[in-house]
Amino acid sequence: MTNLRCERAERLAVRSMDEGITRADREFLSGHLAECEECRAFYRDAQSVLNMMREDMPDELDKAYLDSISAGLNKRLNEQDRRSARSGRGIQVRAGIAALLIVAAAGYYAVRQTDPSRTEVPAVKSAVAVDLYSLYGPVSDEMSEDVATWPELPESVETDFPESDRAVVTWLEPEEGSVDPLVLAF
Amino acid sequence: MSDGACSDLDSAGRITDADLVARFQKGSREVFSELTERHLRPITLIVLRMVRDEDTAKDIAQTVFLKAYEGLSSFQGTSSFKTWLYRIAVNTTTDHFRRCREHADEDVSQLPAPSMDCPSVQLDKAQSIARLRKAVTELPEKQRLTLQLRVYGEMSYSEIAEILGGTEGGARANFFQAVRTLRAGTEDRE
Repeated sequence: MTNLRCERAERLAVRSMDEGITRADREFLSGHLAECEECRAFYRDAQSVLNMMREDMPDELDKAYLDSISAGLNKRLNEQDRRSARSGRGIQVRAGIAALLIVAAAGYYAVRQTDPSRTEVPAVKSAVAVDLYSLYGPVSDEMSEDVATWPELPESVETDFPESDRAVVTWLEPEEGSVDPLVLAF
Repeated sequence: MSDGACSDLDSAGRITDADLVARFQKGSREVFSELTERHLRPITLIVLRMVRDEDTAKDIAQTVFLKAYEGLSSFQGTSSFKTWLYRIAVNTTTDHFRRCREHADEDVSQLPAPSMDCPSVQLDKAQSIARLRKAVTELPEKQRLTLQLRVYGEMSYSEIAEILGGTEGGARANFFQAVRTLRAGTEDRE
């Protein structure tokens, strides 16, 4: 490309092969190509490149080929719908379980507050926060029923045990290894 | 399914894509099959022209419609459904090339060009086409996609600009640069 006229001619050349140009532009282009060998070569080569690209592409698609794509697509869409449905059901099940747990927990605490076995025990004087698991290991039912069978608590633990050696004990069983304190109510 | 509202019709007297999309978004998932039927052929054709392998084109075309199905509920309609679908097709094909660029290069040079010429002319032509295909894959991405959408997809520059982003003039300039680069590339090797 040697000058602005050549640059314009190149752009017009490509456009004439692509989307067409105005009569005035066509006149300019043909006049310029007649006198510029370099632009003539560009025009020829660019046309050859585009023609080759247009020749070198499938014109139409086989119906069987398209049908196989449709069939495969439908299969994949159905699989996806099934996955979505499963995932939706999974979410519903999880939400249901969570709701049940919330209701159960609320019920549990409500029962705890009104548990007649607790209110009947006159010796409910205090709550002792103790990491029971770390002191005694897993708590057994027997231990809960008979305070006398408990090992001695360390001095650091503040206690206010009832005179009676029996009490209702309520606790939350910790996970193994947990050091969460347990609340014991007497 | 009818939602009771009047439907817009396109020039062929069919319900418009926009209307079908609106129905899909209201829950009529079955209208997606109509959208697929309308666009599967042109999308597959342009993908096949770009990747030049029927199995790959088949897989990409299915992936394009699967992505469209997944994303259609949140499609905002800022462009036409067709433009949006082509954008998905271009991105999916580009991702494919990025994943296996070296294989794609090998593949394009191995395919013979269909021809009725005598064997020596046929060989020359096949070599030229193989060179051209390779040169196309080596174009800067935007130039290559512009050229392919223009030649293989027969799209207007405004459509190309919408799909690839940018302006109509920019798309025209990219096309020109692509042809210029290809011409230079094929000239250097001859």
